Amino acid sequence: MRLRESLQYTSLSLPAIILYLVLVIVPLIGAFYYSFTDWDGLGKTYRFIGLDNYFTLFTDKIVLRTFSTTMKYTICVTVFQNLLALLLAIALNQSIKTKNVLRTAIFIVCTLSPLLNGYIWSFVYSGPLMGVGRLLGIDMLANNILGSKDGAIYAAAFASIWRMTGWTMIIFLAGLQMIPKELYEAAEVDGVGPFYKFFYITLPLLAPAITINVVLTFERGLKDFDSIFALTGGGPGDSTLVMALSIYKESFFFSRAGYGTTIGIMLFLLIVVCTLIQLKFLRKREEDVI
Amino acid sequence: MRKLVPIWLCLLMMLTACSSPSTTDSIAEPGKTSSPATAANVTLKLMLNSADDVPAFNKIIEEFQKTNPTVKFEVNAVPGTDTFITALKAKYSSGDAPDLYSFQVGARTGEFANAGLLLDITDTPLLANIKKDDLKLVTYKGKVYAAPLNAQATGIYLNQEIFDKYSLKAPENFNELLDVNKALREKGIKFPMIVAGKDVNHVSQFDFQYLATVVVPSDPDYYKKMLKGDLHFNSPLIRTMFERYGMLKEYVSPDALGVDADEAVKRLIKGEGAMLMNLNGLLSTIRRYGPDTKLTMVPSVLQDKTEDRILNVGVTTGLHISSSSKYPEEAKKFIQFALTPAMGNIYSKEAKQFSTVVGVTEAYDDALKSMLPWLNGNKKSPHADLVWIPGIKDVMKEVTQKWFLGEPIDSVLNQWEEQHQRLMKANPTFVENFGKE
Repeated sequence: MRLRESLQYTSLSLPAIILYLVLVIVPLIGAFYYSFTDWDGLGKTYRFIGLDNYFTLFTDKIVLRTFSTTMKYTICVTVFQNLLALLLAIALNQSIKTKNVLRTAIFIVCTLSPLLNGYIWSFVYSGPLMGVGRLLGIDMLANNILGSKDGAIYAAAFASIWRMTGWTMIIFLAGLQMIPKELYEAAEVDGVGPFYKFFYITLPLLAPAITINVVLTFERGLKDFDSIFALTGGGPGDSTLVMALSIYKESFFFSRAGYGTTIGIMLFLLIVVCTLIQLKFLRKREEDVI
Repeated sequence: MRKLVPIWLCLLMMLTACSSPSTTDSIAEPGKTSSPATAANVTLKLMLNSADDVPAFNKIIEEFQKTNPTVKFEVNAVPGTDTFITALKAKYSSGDAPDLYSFQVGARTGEFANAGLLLDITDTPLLANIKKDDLKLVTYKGKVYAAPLNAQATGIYLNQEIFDKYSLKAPENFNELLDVNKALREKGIKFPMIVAGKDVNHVSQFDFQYLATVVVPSDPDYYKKMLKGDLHFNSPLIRTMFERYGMLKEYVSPDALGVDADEAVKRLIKGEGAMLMNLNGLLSTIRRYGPDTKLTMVPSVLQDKTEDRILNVGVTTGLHISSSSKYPEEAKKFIQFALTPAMGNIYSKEAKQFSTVVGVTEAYDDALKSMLPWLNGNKKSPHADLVWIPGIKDVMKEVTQKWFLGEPIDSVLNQWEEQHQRLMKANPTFVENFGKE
């Protein structure tokens, strides 16, 4: 009987496993394979060059610079998206008449495609925002921020935060609703103020939601391609050239698909390492609460 | 176990749906005639690199189908060099290559020919109306792999209304260009030179024109020397280019880095600026915003002496046939038809481009009248960048924008050279074959 049940469950999950193998594992193995070659992305022939691409990568200042740009972008998105989402979740967890409308309005933005989001913000930065800046005589706004080598990466991060905050907020809202009201009532009886309630009840009990949000936002930030591509294409200069864009550039423009996949593999390893570190740290925090 | 039957059936159906249909082998032998059975239902997939070319090609196709009614077309335009090359490579990789495509000639044609993806069209009748000189950039290892479609000339667009208003003459050398800028500033046009700094293709127009009209005429073998290591992108020759650009930058609006191509065109039409450096291909965009604006396009004026002035013009786009096309004969037939003088005139008029076809007489815009004597003359210089190793042109655009942002000349030149060394190391075949016709 148990064997039959187990077979039933296995067969039910088989389609998902097959899809996962075909769409994730096979390309991943392919990427590893090509990272040891000098394939140009077009030709039918290529040579095995061992670890050459990896050695080149660690001495390649241009690619190493994209690493720091990626981290700058990712940290900015992770910190501000989570803070903003948490604030919104707390606000929309109160008894406000329009809370359902507001929740929907904020969440719906994340259904936009990242590419479309990029084009929308490209228009906003170069059109209306510049107009407002000129009208008010604010130089920083009057010149397109996407043209600034220091500001463009933050402008790109802002566009991403704007799109995904609603999604993060929903997870925080779910976490907030899981916290027993009795705890707050008991705290109120003891005369605890809102500040202490937040730091000693809300924040610790929100730990699982924080773990999910921080890990996913960080991982998405590292992989972000579409919206930066639409906003700046990596420019001005290479000031917004993140690792994902660099893979694309090396593979398609410089005809170095082998090298491009090597950067892809490094990005994959970076995501794995960062995720593991975050999970170790954040899970420990969750356990401490329990 | 009976419960499992529907699940297994679903799974089987899903796998059947996922599997690719029984496709016939799409790789045809180059030059092999398609069979009469297939010729009755021929559909040629045509991929264009400019949306502006679509109306022209629709008309040419319409004419072609009058005598070839069985040949159908799937026209797909992917504008933008960057997007096009990405889409094209993805299509080849996934086995969905177009039968025909129009794209930049030169190193990119060589790259695809070297990978065995293009059909050899050497000595075929479809090149009958093309000048031999125009075949250089579509020739790889002695064989022709594309039919030149259009030529682009570079120069400066002048807002003629402003020049007439202040009785100013079009500049003829670099010093005169600076003088005209100064004069216009004195007349109240604070930033006469328009640069779309946000767009890497526009911000690097100065480089393209300087390389073609100053560097190439002074040393036609400069790039061969670079590949040999005798000359570098951080040599004084290229440094001078940035120094010159710097002299002109004084007359460019400080918000140029936030200005895109469309905004630059609007500024020229509105008269907020008076001059814009670009290719004749920009005219279709200019006319969209200012169909009646009085404009003049003049050849580049970046050299010291007027007598050294030369027109930078050359084939930029070619029609390529994929070696995997199932209908190579129909594809060739179509190109031969598209490159007749009658169709060349249609192309020139509709796409607002200079056709490469001998015998095309249409001048498609009054703004280009002053270019005609130069186009018919002998003082011409080809586009310098088209022979470069794939990728380095994009680096040039990027470093120029960085310099425009304020990065020192030496820093950007060193980055340019560093990237060049990197690409040469990654592509030894290109370095080895360079210059071998």
